[in-house]
Amino acid sequence: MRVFEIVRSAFEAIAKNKARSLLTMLGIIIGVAAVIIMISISAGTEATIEEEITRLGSNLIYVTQNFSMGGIAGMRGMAAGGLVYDDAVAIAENITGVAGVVVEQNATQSVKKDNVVVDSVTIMGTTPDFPSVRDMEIGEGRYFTNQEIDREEKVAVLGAALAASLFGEEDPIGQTVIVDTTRLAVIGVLEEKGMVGDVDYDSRMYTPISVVWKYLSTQQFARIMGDRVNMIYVKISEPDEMDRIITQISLLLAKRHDVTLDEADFAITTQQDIIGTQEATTAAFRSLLGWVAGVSLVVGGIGIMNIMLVSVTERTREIGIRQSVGATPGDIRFQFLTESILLSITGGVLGIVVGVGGSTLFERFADMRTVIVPESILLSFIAATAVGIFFGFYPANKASKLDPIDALRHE
Amino acid sequence: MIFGKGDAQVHALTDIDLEIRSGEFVSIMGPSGSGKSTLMNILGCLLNPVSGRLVLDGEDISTLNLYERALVRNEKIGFIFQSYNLLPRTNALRNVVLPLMYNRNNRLSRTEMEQRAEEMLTMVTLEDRIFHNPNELSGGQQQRVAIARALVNNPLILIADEPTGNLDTASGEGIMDLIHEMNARGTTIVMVTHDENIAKHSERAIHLLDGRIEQVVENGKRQVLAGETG
Repeated sequence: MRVFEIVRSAFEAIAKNKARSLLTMLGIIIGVAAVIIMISISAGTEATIEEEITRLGSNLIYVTQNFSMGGIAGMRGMAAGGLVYDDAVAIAENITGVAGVVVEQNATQSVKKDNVVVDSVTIMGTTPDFPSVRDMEIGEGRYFTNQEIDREEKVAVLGAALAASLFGEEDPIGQTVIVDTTRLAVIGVLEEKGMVGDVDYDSRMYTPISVVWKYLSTQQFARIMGDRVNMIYVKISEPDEMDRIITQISLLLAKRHDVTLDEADFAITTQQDIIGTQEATTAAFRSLLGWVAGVSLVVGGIGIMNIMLVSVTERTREIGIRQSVGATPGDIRFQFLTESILLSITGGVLGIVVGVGGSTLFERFADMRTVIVPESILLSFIAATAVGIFFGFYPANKASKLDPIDALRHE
Repeated sequence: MIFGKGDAQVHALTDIDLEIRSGEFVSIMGPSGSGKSTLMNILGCLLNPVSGRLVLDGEDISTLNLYERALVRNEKIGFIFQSYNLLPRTNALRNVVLPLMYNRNNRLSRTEMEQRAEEMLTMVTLEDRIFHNPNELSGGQQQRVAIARALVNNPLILIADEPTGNLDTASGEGIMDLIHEMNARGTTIVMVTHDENIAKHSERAIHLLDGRIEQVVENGKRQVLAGETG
């Protein structure tokens, strides 16, 4: 049997039952589209993370309190105040190769301006280097100074989104916002920065860290404890010196806190660590989606097998006629296999169209970044073909083994 | 061509010893259940006998497997059936091309196959119906397409199973004339029928009863028969 004729009659057989063929292909279409959309979303996320690396630089070290320390060491850490402002000062003074040190201590409070109230605002108590270390631009006004920290001046810098919700079109500079019972003067507004990782920098408020300690901490205990910080950012000059500086900070803090490194009450992470975690999450997400897509393809394949079995039964007479004029079992098997492969390939192509279209729609309307990966198209096409061969074989083989006399007699 | 040396012990047939010569026109007759369908299936290489031998064109074809039997059917045997058995929704030309497509010995291009099929359709006087689907053709026309298809690979033998069974008298006679014409061109014909009048067209009628050959009737020359029916 000539291949062309087989493909042609397979096409005709599929075209004869358009609705049925389309429904049969649906599983494959959904599976393939799911693969492409999911991979494009995860590739989009990865691209965003990569951009973050370039944006934030690879030269940032985070020192946090180690809350996982249990037992006596953990208690002592709490009692001694964990990380304190002086730790940051010590790092800046004693370790070479450090370009800047910034601390932060947050409080979460409602912020009021006249009768406008924004709830659950993260109020970041920081130091003057914060914008440069975290790579943020001042849009209007200015950031606060060391002097203002020393004097515990009640000043505030607003994130762009927060400024917009509180003041709308008005100019915020020089106006007053109220947190709890404390009135703060607005001295600056930051440029829009958007979401970085899962942190929305634009809806925060920034004040001198001393103001958070003195007025804004929600816990009385924390106010008494004074100069605690929950995070120290260290920006280094040379990314190559990362390992040395991390070791030195560890030793310095261990000595200051009077702990061994094994029972340290602080943890040091880098931008890479955080990105690594994000990437691991993305990878886990992707492999989960891979399984979902795989299951969907298998379900689609079973659908094809089911319809092909029906088709073999319906066309038993045709099979008998072909056998009587000399079709060999191989010819019959090839014909039905071609049909199921054609079904799955057509489903695959439609799935690619839906997948690429869907990714574009996600990007445009769901505000999700997607990157279409060519390999995912190739991969899903191959998977669809493989499904056609695998699930088409049983019905095709069944057709090829029909007895010609019975087949001819079949009504 | 020799059939025979057989005692095909299928449930339906016993002690069949039959020889059909090349170019002969033989009819197989008998009531329902006499085994004529089984004999036709064995002769048509659709079925292997449980025991005994079947020799076609000097080759023992009684022990072939499915694949080998398909090749024999394709190259040496042509079938026509009472119910025509054309592929539905497939035009006359493509129905006739079908056996050429399955033929492993020809090296014809698609165009050459279609030319050959068209010649066959012209021979059965359907040259103006080649693109019609079976449902657009009368019964007689469908049977002509079936004959064209059966003969397109130049088989040694044409097996006709009640070829006029579904046709009115006029169409049936047309088909019988065509079968005679093919026989005159050298094709061996084996026709299964229970109709005495149709059987009279053949040179020899083999009567089966309960799976055995009951009697063989030599009808003499075709010309005489043509005179009788004409």
